[in-house]
Amino acid sequence: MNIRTVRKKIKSIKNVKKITKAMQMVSAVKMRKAQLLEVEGRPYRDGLTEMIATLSKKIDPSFSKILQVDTSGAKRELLVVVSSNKGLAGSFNVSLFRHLLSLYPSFKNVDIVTVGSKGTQFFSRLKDATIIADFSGGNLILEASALFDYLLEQYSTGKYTSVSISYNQFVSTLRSDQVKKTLLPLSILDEEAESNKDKEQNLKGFDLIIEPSAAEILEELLKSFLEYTIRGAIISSEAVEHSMRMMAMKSATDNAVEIIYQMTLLANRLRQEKITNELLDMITAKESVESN
Amino acid sequence: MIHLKIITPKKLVYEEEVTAVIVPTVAGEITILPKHADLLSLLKEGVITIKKEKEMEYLSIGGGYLETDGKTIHILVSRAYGQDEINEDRTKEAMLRAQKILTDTKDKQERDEALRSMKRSVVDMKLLSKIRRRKSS
Repeated sequence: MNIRTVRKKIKSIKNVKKITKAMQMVSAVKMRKAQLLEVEGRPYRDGLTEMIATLSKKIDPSFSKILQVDTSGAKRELLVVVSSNKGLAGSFNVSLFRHLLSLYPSFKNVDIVTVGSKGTQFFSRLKDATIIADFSGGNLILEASALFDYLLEQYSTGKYTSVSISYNQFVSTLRSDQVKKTLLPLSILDEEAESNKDKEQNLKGFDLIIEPSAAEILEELLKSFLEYTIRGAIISSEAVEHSMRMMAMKSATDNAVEIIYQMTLLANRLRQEKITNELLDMITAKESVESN
Repeated sequence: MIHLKIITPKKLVYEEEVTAVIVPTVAGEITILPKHADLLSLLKEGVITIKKEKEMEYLSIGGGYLETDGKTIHILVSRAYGQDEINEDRTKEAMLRAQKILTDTKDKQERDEALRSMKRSVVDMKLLSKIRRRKSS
């Protein structure tokens, strides 16, 4: 390699470093915002769960229309996949897809709804996967309520045994889990009922006024709960996306620094070699002139 | 005193000991005082009035839920803005914009959106007039 190509290469890598550094900083800001949203949204979701638990003790939850859907004739499953619209986020999308591939040996009986265009691309390339809807508008969080309406409508046709959502769950900046949660049929009621068994005994003589009517409020609560579970999943996935992208860009920047270091060493060595060669040339020329 | 917690999907808006809370439920406006009977209720858009000793505070809220056991009140709503967060000019502007969309556009989704924004603005205006009335009296 000659010295000029090495210098050119150093220059181009420096430019790459500038770009990855900028992307890292942008992601860091977005990450902080997304994480804040994720953390601050938790009390609301917890509050909803608590209320449903209180209510389900008072009345028979099977009142609700959502729980009365007849799924006996259903064979297929509905799966929502939350990915990202943009790439360059390390293993963000790949690890989610790998997780799904290990969960499902075949996607023949699964209808897929994608959120995020990376997911759409991936599943449209799989032979046996069917995508029935794509919610990959610009801002994924804004798609949550439309997605919720769509899922509810699909589920109430009775075509699907279950509706689940799969996404990257935010744990910390450095950690995330790939999870699959079942949205419908609602499982929260059973879980809550069990964990509240001891409490229930203490609450004898506990009399609750419910306005306007239990059935009505339960319906609304369950719907809100579902909608916020979906929204929470998307927010969580977004927080992971930005953290992952920041980490990926950080390691890209580190790599660039490392390569620049190596290249500079190489360039210096080449330069010295050139000088040595020139000196040798001069000395041999001088010697030969003198000896004559 | 009763412990009041107001939570929106975005954050915990309010958490304090108060003497009374007036909320708009679907069945009408109710006041909750300490030792209120256990209650679970559906809230509609409107203004929440919080009474603390001699102070009064107002919040404009979207629809949601209320739960109380006489010692604590949990209010879960889609949105909640205090009097300091509402800007009169901007609210009026939003109202005009929504009105324009409602008269001009036929697209259903856009109209729904505008209608919602309109409702919000009306509630915000109500809150502003409430504050003004108190200031003048």
